Amino acid sequence: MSHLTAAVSENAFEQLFALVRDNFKYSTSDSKNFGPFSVGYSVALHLSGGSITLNNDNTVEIQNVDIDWDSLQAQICLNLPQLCVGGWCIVPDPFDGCWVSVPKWCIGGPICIGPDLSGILVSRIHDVKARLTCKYVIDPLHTSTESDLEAELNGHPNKWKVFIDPVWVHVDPIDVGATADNLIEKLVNDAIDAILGPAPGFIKDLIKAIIGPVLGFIKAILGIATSIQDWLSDLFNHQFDLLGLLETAIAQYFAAKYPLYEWPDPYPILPAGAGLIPVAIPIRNVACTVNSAEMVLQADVG
Amino acid sequence: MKVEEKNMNQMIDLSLFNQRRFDSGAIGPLVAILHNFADPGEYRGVATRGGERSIFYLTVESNHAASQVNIDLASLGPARATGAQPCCDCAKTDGARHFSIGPKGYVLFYVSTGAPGFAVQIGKSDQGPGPKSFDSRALQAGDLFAVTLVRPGTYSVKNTLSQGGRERGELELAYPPRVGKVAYQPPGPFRVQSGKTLEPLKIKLQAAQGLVFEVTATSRLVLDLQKANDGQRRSR
Repeated sequence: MSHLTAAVSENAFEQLFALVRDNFKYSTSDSKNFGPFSVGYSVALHLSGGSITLNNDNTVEIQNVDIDWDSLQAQICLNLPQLCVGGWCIVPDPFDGCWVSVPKWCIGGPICIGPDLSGILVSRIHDVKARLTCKYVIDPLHTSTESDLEAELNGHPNKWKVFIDPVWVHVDPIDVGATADNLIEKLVNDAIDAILGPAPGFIKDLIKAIIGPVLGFIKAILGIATSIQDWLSDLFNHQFDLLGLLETAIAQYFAAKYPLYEWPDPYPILPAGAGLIPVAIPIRNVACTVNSAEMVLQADVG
Repeated sequence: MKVEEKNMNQMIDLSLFNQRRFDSGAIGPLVAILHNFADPGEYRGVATRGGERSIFYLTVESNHAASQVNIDLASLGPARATGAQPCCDCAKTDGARHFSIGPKGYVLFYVSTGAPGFAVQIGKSDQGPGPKSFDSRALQAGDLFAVTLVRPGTYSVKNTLSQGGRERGELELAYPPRVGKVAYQPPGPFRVQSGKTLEPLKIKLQAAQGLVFEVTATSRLVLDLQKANDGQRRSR
């Protein structure tokens, strides 16, 4: 039988979890070249909301935690290959179409747009199933010549830490809002206007007529068969595997980066005073479990 | 990740759109001249613009299958050798200035970018100095002059070498259409006969529609912008 037993109610556990959740910050970036176009992104996010349930099978279940994008900046670069006049057939050939054609005079080139997608991408942690794990962490400042008690007195004691150790993390696929099409269309339109900036109005109108509907033009260049909304969704969820990166980052964070609860070893019982030295007791063999009502910590002294 | 900024204004060559005159004897962007060299052999060409002069070579081979060879007069570069050293040989070994075509093909002269004003003369190499087989300032029967006009408005059209030289055609180029449900494709080229007269004299073109002059008698064709229709830029 353990020397010490402590219990944390479900309500208190929820408050401890809220601290863990609110401290989560994640940022990453990546870019890929897809031939006719390239895409890069840079994201930063935090977590909010959600619910936590303690189970009798010694597991914890976290559900419906929102992923809040602090920034989600993409960069899409593509070539404008079709802004040409000329190229028509001057000497037709009834057998193979054209014997001689005039050259094309083209303008255009690469353009890049940087849509801010933070307002139109939605995702959340659907479900985290976890057990509690207690880890003994040696403070890096604790030297070999220092006793545990001296380390505690010097402000860098070793610690016992309770982590939420996920069995699985399931993040919902990133959902792209329907306004993505309009956003991309507007940005490409603006980029084309920037290219044509110094050109007279009749040239702008001619080029835009040749381009036709901008959305169709972009989709043709990017090889999008469905909608830009679906294309972005596939890009982030699968091509960049942002979903997988998030699941890994969340699992690693819960399991080892920010503890649910921690205490020093040796554990201070009485401070120094009245000519007496402080009293602290060493904690050993810590076990942490949950049931549907509370988290239970058990340990030995010695 | 830093979002790159590109100087997009560098991508547009405004000289393409600022021309008011299109002259078969002073070749520039948006026009092309086609000539068929039916007689196989070695030809030597000279392209001039103001004081600039470029030499190039053309081989017409009876067994050559190409139907078209494009010669960009703006990229030929100046003649390398001057004075006592013949300038021909260095160009002959330079792939960028030596072209080949079959006797049924067309040589197409054009200017990819820059100022207009090029003229081209070509003669058989073995005939030395003398009258040339082709002179772009006086197109002959069978030659073609192609123009792609982009600035909407009214143009005068004239063959300055026609007898009398007074006859003047009128060309109207429509303003670009509004953006529709599909991308705009200009209609096929409009064809005009340039002989003793221009036929037809009234020409109506859609935006960016091609225009071909089929030369049937000595011609130097000049189109001058008379009244631009720059319109008012539409909203996007």
